[in-house]
Amino acid sequence: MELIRCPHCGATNHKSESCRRCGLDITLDRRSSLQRSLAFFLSALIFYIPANIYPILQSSRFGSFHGSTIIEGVFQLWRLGDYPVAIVIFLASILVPLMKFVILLYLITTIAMKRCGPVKWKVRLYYLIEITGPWSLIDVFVVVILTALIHFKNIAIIPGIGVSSFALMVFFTILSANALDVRLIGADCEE
Amino acid sequence: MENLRELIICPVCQTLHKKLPLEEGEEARCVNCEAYLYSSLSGIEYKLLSYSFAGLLFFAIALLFPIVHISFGPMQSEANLIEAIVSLFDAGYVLVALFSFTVLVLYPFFVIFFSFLFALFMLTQAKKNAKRVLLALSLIHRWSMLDIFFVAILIAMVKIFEYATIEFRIAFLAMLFVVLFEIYLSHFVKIENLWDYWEERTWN
Repeated sequence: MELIRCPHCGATNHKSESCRRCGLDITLDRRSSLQRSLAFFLSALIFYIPANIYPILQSSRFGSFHGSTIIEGVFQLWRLGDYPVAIVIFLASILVPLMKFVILLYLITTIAMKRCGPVKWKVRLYYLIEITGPWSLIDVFVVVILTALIHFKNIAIIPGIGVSSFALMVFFTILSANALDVRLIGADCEE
Repeated sequence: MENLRELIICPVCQTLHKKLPLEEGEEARCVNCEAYLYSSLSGIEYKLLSYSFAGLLFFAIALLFPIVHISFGPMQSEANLIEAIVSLFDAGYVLVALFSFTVLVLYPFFVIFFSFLFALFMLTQAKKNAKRVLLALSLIHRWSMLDIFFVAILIAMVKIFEYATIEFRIAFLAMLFVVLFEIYLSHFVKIENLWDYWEERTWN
């Protein structure tokens, strides 16, 4: 009889609808998992555009406003010589979201097309985006703390309109990764 | 067919393994891909109870007291976590404020509180309640993002340290402790391990 691993609690189960230990749904529903993952992926992709076009942070000095997008912020930090911070922001806010999009698209298409490939490598890629995914929110949290700290009469930091799109983009990529059932990777290859 | 409780499937390569008893500090890895499978958790209730109790106290400090104090010449400012979220709300970013409140206040609190309750229920043999708490913990633990916020504070300070004098306050240290507790729970204990532990204690 086929045994499956519960994605919620890790228990070993006979093939059934709910986990014998935690009681949560463990059905391996290929279609539903792919559809939900793709829907969240596309939503994230839509929010990725305004997140990069509009400023994420605005500074107000004596009534004049200056906004900067994520990439402008990275260049600005680099020019000022804050190389470690520029690299962290570049990795977390630009490279990680892009990497997540590429990996999610690769996983969704290979599962949908029932392509066998380096299964272990693909599972490791999945866990990589699951772990690194939330770290893209670092820039949003930097905005949160700077907004709270710098709100003087003549100088203030204000969130840019890109911050909502950026947070939503990260939120949807996390949902997309969560919706994709890792057990589907290589499921057809075993058969 | 062997008892399902004695079997474990590798999360990476799906290889089926038979569980073997481990000595304290030992961990089992997959024979095929060497991915982590499980480890010995004897006496975890006491550790979890003390760490999570301390975690709750530190979390209260991290929430209510200032994290950092800055001064730009005569201008001074300080902020705590709640104020930071309220300032987003005031700026009209309701969605981001609600999201930040959920992942930085609500879920981290639940993760620590549920860990405390789990340890308490296991010690008092209230296994059904322990299961309910573990179920809630399994669903929310991924959404606690205080560790990311902690790194974000450091980055924000690096961004302004040339222009301002920065003093870290008590909530910063308290938050560090809470983050360390969360790292302990997610990387050293793991939710799947707690489920195994609950199952062992329930059936033996």
